[in-house]
Amino acid sequence: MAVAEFERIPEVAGPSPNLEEKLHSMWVSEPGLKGWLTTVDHKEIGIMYLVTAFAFLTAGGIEALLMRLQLIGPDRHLLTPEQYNQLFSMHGNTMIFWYALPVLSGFSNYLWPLLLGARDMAFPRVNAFSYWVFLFSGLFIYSSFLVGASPNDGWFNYPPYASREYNGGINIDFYLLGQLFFGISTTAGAVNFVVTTLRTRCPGMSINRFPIVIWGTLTANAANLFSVPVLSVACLLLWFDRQFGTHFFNAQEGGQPLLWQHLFWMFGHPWVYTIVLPAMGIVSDGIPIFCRRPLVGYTAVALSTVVTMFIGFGVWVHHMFATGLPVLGLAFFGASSILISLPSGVQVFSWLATIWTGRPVFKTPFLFFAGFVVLFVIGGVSGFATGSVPADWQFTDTYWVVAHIHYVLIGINLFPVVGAVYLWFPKMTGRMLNERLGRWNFWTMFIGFNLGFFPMHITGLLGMPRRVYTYQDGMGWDWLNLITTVGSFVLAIGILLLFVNVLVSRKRGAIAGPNPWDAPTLEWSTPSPPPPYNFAVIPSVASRHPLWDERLQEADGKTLLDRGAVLDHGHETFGVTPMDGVPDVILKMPEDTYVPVATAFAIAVFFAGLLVHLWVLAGAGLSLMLLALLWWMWPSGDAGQTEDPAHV
Amino acid sequence: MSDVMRTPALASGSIGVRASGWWGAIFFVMSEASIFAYLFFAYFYYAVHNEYRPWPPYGPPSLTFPIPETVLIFVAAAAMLFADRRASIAVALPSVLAQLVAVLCGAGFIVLGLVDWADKPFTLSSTAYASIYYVITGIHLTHVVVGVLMGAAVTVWSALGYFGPVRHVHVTITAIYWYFLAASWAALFFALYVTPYLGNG
Repeated sequence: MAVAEFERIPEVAGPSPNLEEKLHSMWVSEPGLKGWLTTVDHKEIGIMYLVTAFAFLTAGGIEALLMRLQLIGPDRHLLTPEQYNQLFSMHGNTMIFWYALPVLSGFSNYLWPLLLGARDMAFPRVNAFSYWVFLFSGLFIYSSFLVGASPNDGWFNYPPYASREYNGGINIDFYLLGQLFFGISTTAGAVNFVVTTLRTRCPGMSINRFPIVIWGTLTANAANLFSVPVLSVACLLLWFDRQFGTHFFNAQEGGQPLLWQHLFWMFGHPWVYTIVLPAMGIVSDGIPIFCRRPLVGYTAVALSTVVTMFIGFGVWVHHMFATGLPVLGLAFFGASSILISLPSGVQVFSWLATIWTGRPVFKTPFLFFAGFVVLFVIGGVSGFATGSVPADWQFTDTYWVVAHIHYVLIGINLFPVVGAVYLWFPKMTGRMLNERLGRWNFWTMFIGFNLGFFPMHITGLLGMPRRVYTYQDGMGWDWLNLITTVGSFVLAIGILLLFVNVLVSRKRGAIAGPNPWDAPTLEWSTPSPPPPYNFAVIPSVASRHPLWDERLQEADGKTLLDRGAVLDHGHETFGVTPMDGVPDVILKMPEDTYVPVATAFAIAVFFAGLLVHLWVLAGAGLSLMLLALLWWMWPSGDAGQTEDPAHV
Repeated sequence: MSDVMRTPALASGSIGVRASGWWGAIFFVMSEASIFAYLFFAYFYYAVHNEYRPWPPYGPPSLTFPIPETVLIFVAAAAMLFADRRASIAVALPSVLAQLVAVLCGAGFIVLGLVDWADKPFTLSSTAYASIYYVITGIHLTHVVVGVLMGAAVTVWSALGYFGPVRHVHVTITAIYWYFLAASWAALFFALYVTPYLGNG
């Protein structure tokens, strides 16, 4: 047998009702519960990711509001110190892990094949698997509330307070195992995003034509491959300390509590860029749509995205300036931290130049993206200040740092995300979100956010330590805390307006049509919502802005949207060369299946067994997982994995 | 663009470096390899902060078992390399036999690893050194168990005649995993078994 037996010339045609019907019946997921559990459609999974991430945002938000009620004035007793510890720990964990990355993965999942001109992600089943692991790991850590023993040592979980000696309950075990569990989802997703970018695209989609959101998500996920393992290692070591009496972080026996901080921040700082770079990519693609011109400095923005991440792996010690490390180390890490402002500055000036030289249309998404630029600059400046070692010694463990982290994470993650909901909701549902309510939504969030978090800079400079459950009268912090609490509730009302808008417009919004914003990228060439197979014929692109070719006159050849490869021998899409986007294989894609959810469930059983020391249960989960993987990996003819010329 | 038309014919399915699984395996293995990089960081962090005792506290570890373990894991990786190459030829038997050799060598490696553990004068909770020693070797051993299970599965699939000269990416991916097992063992061997003899205590 030779390769020739497995070759065929892809049939080229235009879309036709017959073809669309054939593809539809081939790709559509079943309705109802079965469809939900088995779907591998990236669009369904993307929306599942988004809805789940917003549910976690709501939970984390309620935790924040409870804390703000506690801190509204001095000497309040709404919460006990232990309840407060659990709330701020779960708030941090929820927002940073179970909201901030998954919400971006939701958009990326939904959009990538549409942006890249493919029929699905490179690994559709892995995609479903990472969703289910994300959901189950979130339920796992949230089940700690049911037994009143949630993690209580922050999202950073420093020993010795997290060690068994000082924290004997099950609280920290929920954190450690929850992180190990969640890390599986992140790693699986990261591999999927990286391979999808490199391989499953349409002809002509060379790397210099990627939308910036692709660059942002690619960079973030490439980084996840190397940063998530260090958190997993740290959590495993601490779990061993707590369960089996090892001495990794136990200073009495030669352990090193400070090693936890090194490992945690070697992960933690790249992670910060992981949860902002894709969002910055959303803005880099969104601003040009509403400024009616291409992004200024595409190459510079793409490169600075990558450079930010590279430098981001060499700044972790700036979280540890106050731990007594050698001065030379502090100087090095202070300098590298400040260096990051250079690539960040490149991007800010690109956005400003795009707005300045464009003709801005002030629709709701643009308000969120422009608002993001303002918040990014404020958060960047407070971060720049914190990168300076002597200043940091004043700021450490005060509300200044709380202000900074929220300007960075809400400013750079939440604002672009809400803008992205307004931008892509029409694509996902076929209906526009209400514009008038959208403006109320933006201004309520923007004013509420700044009212809530700007005063924290001052509270911090006045010396209020973070993570205290209450404070005394007469410190000069009372009115600042009152304003912060009011602001946080206004911000929450703003988010509520988003939910109202989504619920109302889903049924009653104006019909969007395929391209309501007259945007330039491929997803807008499909109907709204797109059919299960995305593209009836695989498009081929000749420029960075395939839908603006005519007016920009920058195309190298001609973009073809209504004529291309049919690829209808089962689930198929092109595999292309990584740099130039020339097809080199026809990839066979899997069908809907229970395998991903079953595997994720088996892993959940495994972690539940570890948590409660039911080793038999853990063993059962592990065996179940191995069986599920065997089922998953079994060579399939339909997927073109076996030497069977019937499947070409 | 006429790239579609310019391509006269394209192969379909999972084929060697053009299979998504091949790319996935490469990036997954890179991520797994970084686990060991971070573990070695922790190991040397303990070594340099260990001012009051020799490092390792029990003297340099015995090489009685690690040296044959090294031989076995490299033979296994070489056998998988051979199996992957031979999978491109129509006769399946040599490839199946090579996969079987890799699985058996892997199983031998696991046995030697466990015997080496039993031979140690310290337990998991004796000292920080003991803790990190068992965890690093244990994590590697766990990976070898995974490699053996993968090897056993592809051996069966190969014997069932699922693969052929064109489509045998399962074999290729298992081989990639075994290269990773051998390479990470080489790094582990240098960090845990060679550096103590170089006088860093």
